Amino acid sequence: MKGVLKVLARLYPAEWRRRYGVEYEALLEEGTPRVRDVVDVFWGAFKMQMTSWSFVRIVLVCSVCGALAAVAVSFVAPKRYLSQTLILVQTPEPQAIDKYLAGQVKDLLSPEFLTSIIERENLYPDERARMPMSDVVNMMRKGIWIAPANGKPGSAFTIAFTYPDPHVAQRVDAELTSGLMTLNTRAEAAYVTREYLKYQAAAAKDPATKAVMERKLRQAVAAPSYLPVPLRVLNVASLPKKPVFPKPGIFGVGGLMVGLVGGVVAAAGVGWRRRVTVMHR
Amino acid sequence: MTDPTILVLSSLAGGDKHGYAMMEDIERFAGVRLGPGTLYGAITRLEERGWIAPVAAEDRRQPYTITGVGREFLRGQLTDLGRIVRAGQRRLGDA
Repeated sequence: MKGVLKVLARLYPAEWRRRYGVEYEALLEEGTPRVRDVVDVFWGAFKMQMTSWSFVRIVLVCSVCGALAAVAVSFVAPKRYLSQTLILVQTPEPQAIDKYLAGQVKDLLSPEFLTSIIERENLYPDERARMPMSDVVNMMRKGIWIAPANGKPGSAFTIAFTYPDPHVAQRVDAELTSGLMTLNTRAEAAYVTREYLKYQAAAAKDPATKAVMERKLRQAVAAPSYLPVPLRVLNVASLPKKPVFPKPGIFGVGGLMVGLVGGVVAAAGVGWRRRVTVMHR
Repeated sequence: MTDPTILVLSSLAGGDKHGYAMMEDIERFAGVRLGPGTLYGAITRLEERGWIAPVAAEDRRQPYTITGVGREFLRGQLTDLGRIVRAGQRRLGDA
């Protein structure tokens, strides 16, 4: 342990070592060193180095260290993969897609449907062990993204799902797509049935037939809150090759910025300390 | 009270000491064990400010002494601290 401390003592600035090096080594040789002394000596050397650096050097070193640390974190942080499906809406009214998505998404993201997928695919096993299922469902909702393709209204939209395992992400995205198509087919059947019964009731000549049709209409499947539209899957659920999170580049830039701000603060602190020292002399 | 500056000055107010003797003394009277890096960080700052000064050494261990300015600074700090301690104790009903 004493050997490690002596090696770390060499990290102090050369000028400082010329003045205090001999007595510092003598101190490190005395007594029984503790494990936290290693951190203490290292941190002491780092702070002493900072006091001898210029403003620019402190900011530069902190920025580079911040960027490197952030990139390192990005390699060990839990990864998330995004699988997506592109669906074409065959309707002449682009505005209908927004209304349609608003209604469909509400039904698709129902707790019952998502719970069935969670249990079938054994999603979020750690979270399920410590959280109620309603919270896990909300967590899954945050991983689902349904929006017009390219982020603007048009004739296509995307269903995407993010998860730490790319294969699971792909399977779940396919299930979500399948669920959406099933909902659309049911809505279409309900719509056609209701329209047929409405027509029959209106066209009935005798009151008895009209009453029967109206009763059937009341008993028929409830009308969906949106009009079904013809859907066609353009691209099936993709198998992601690269994680969508974390991105080392974005992490690096973030770390650089944090390091830059931290470096400016540290350099300002060092400058303030130097001025205080000069004032006291 | 774990400010290394005050701890080192308080230790030297009781007589000249080298680094290891300061560490042991501070642990004895304050219950705080300063690490080598923290201790020498404080010694460097205090010497730069002229509050402590090295005295003749007989071996590799360098003893330090508190200067008049250092003594004045310590007295001021302890007076302020004493005022805070007395106010706190009065409010707690301990004094």
